[in-house]
Amino acid sequence: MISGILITIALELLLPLCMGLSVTVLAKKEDTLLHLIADSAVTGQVILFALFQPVIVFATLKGMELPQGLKIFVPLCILALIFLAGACFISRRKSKEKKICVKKGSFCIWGLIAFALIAFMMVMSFLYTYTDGDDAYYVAAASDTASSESLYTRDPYTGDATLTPYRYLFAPYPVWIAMLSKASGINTAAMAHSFFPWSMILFSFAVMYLIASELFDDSRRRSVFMFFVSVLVMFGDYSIYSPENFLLARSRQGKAALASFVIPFLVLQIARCIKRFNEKKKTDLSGLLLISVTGFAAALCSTMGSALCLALVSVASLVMMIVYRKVKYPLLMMLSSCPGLIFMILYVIKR
Amino acid sequence: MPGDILLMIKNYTGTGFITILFVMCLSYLAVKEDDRMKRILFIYIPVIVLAFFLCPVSYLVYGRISESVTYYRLLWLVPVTPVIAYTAVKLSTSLKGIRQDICIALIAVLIAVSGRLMYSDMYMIKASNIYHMPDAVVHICDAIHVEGREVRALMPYEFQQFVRQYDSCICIPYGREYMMNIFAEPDDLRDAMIREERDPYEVGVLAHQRGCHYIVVPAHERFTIPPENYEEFMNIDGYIIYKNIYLSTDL
Repeated sequence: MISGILITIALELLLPLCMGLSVTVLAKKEDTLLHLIADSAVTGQVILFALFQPVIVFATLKGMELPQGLKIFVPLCILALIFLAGACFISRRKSKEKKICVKKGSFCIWGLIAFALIAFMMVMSFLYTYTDGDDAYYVAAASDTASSESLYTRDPYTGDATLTPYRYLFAPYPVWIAMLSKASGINTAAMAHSFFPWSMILFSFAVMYLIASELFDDSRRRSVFMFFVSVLVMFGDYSIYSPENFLLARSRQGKAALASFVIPFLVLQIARCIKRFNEKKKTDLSGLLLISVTGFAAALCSTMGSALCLALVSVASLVMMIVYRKVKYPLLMMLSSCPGLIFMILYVIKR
Repeated sequence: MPGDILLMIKNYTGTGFITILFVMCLSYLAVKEDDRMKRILFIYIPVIVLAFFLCPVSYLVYGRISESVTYYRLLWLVPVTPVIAYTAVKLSTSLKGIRQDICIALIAVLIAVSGRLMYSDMYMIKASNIYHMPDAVVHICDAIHVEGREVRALMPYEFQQFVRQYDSCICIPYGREYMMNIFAEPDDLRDAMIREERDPYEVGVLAHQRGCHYIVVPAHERFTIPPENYEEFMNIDGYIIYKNIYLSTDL
């Protein structure tokens, strides 16, 4: 069990951190160590989701099993890691600044309270359970994939052989949970309900912290922002449809990841694109690439995920066109969010 | 159709106080915020998304592509939490010293009163194990599990959603969709099980025909005589397990 937990932590935290570090260092933004870690981890996680999605959809449509899918996914991750590290190395060699600039950060009392509240929510996700009927499909699908290694060939509700369920296979988030469970050796239900939610809560708050960093330069106001966000999330049970409710109650479902992690990450990327455009008035290629990657990550979480991302980016682009009276960059932004739509189109054709 | 959209808004906003807070924050920012990036993110985008959401054509198009019941997910594009938190920071940090801290605390209380604590939800309960499901499910699944093969078991209503989450080697003749009456076709075994007075002969014959190795029922719903083709096998955590005497569970 201990080794399983350590493997889980490595896969849920260290792998995304390593994957995202190169991207964050490439961005060369001077900020605190906390910012660097948060940025790297969430960016890495989104990249991992985006790589996982097409591989598993392809494997399912080709009738492959999970190990065969992972035989494509793992080398792809290693290649992506080498590519990103290489790009980072070359960029830093060309750059005059050889060191990564890390500013000293500080916490005020509100930051510490926010930190305590987030830790509390993470612990509660382990100790408390929220009974949700949808788990009968999503967690059972993950459990079935982990034990039979087949991809969407059986009905998760009953275990009977089934025709390809196009309604679900274009958003194979349960397969991600199955992969974590298989790699760590932890029972899939335990993984989904106890050992996975903390990471999703952490990532969601990390995205909120990064949004705070785009809004405020000083650590005090960032801390106060995080305090308010943690209170809003903790008291977010005003509706069963709110992203806050999804995060704390159904964190193992793809919908929760979409609502509370991927969409806020897209909001962050849009904020960064607008900010850079404000400052430099030129195209920011890395920002556009990250918007594209986010579309794929959203498709992993929900079939409509990529369409929601396109809708958000389109609205932002439209507003930018009107506010800045420029067409090229907003149009590029909108186009960059289109590739992820392929899965939704496939779903509409195949269903 | 506008009624459907309004109902969705009503369900999404729940108690409504957080929404009122959000609208107040949006109005405040519309007047006070000067930064272009923040205006785009926190005013223009939410307003356009809301207008788009309220448009019946969007509802129709969404329904054609996906399922109308998930239309509320468009509202996830409205950054409610960042807008409220940002406005709260802007308001509170305009004050200095102890007044600032008092203001922060007061706004936090206002948010808490407007919302509802997640851990006070009636469905949020203390987990009895790391699988976050009743202990009885774990014990029964462990008792009927056979290493290296699948078994089929007729489970009580309250276990339907848990069994295959815990152990996918245990198959069930009808799943949660039959209990919810969605995506479900008529099922004679389900009908026999939910009948007020269960017939042990009917249940036993149908379960045997469907290849069930086990039938599990709560002790207070114990059959007067064991179902046809079955014998009493075990009593765990207040549940009786009947085992099929003809279907082997050997490898």
